[in-house]
Amino acid sequence: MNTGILIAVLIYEIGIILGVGLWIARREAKHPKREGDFALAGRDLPVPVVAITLALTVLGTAHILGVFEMAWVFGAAAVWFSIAHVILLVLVCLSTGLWVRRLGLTTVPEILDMLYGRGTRLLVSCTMAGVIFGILTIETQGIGIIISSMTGWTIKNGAVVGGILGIFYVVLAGMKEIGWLNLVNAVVMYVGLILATIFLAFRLPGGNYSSVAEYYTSSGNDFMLSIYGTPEIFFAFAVGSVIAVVFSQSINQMLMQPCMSAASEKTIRKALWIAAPLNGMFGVFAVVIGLTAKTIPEFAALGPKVAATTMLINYLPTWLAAVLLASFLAAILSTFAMTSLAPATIVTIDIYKNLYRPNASEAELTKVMRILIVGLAIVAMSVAAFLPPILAAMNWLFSWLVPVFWVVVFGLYWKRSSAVAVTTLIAAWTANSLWSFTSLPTLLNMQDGLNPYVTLAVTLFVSILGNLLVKGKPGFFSSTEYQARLKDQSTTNASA
Amino acid sequence: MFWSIFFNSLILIFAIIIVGWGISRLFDNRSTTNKTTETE
Repeated sequence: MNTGILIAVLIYEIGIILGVGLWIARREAKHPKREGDFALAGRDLPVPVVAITLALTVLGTAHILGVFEMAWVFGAAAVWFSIAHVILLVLVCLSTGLWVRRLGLTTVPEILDMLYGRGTRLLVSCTMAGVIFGILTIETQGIGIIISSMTGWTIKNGAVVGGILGIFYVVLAGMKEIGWLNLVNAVVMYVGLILATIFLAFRLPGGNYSSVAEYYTSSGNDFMLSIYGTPEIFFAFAVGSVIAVVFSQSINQMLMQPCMSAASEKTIRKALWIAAPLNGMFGVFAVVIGLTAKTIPEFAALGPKVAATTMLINYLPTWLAAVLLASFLAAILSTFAMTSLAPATIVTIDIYKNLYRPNASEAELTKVMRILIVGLAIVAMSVAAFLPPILAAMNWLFSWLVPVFWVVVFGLYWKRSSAVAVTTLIAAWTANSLWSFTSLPTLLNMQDGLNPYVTLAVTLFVSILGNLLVKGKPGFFSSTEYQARLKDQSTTNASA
Repeated sequence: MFWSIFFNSLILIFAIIIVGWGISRLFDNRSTTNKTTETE
């Protein structure tokens, strides 16, 4: 246990979260309340804040602890986990994110209401809130692991301390607080990463990374130094990551909410140029750290899960190790904050307001969201103690959103039939659960963990066949309802 | 080793963004949605 590092990290986190949170909350208190102030930052976030929030929302436990581990097995090709997120951000900033901003939505299920009616909206609301809550429990576990590596505490205690920090990351001022905190943390993270890479090189023989390259070349594993790996690794891991990440995340409320909060569509388009490199290049540093840890016998002996973090704590000066761990923790906390805000927004808008309180005021909705954020975070802290295996859990969870993406795309561009939409969703969700919880993969002589492919195949089969056979309304973008909606939006914007 | 992974990834990332941007522009030009409909 290194008390100096622990104290420095906690002081940084508490200071920055309370400082930024209270500053924004005080500033906001002076302005009159606008619709969507808490959940959507009044829809006026600028380019840097939208960009960094998009980049950090999908940069959590899997990016940090996962890539260290993946580099151990796949070498530099592990960077494809980050590249998959670059493709995801391209899709979000140039299509899905623009659609939700243009239509003036607050939650993703609202688009399902527009396309297929209230029933589909409620079905997707419950599922999407549940899926994001599942991701929240995994992020809570990740925070527990990082704090446990710094303190020697149990992962459970680490998750409780981290969870409390995570609640304060969002509960004081909502989306605006997350955005501005992310901006500060991203700067600290990149300064920390660059300095860590330089200091790490100084500790290696020759003062650079040539000894790492030599280790892999001399053992006949040159492929581990190439980001394209071997053809097998490329097709199984790289292409697999792209499919799993892109189709499951591109319509997720977590990523759509920063887009809905952007000042304009142009803001989202511009944000891509910052968000994608910021997220993608993180993978480069994580891969280099992971590859280096494997070449040093004292850390290699610890195994892929803890080798890299232990190396950073032992090799870097105390102050730099503290900066780096604080920024890793901040990156996971930002994902924690978005994964608690997103389901809280869905439950408040799609269920509480939609079904029970259509005339609820902004103050009442904010209060409900705050209560839900705290409640969800507390439940996540208790669930995290059971430590579900991270990769298997992610695979199953993300696959629930694959059919939602296709149902939205087909509804916008091709045909709208609620019967086909509901059948597609239920068929894909059933296939996903059968794949995880029965011996179906063994019976078919296939691997576990192929959930994204299975749900993608079932989704495309059922929805394409269904839309070919069943009559429905034309795609939303070519309908008169769309034109009317745009007219409404521009009137609202002009009067705002 | 570091620089080769760094530059290869950087080039790949910007290539993906530029291709994505190009496809989106192409799509925009063909689509009925024009710039006046953007929520500014």
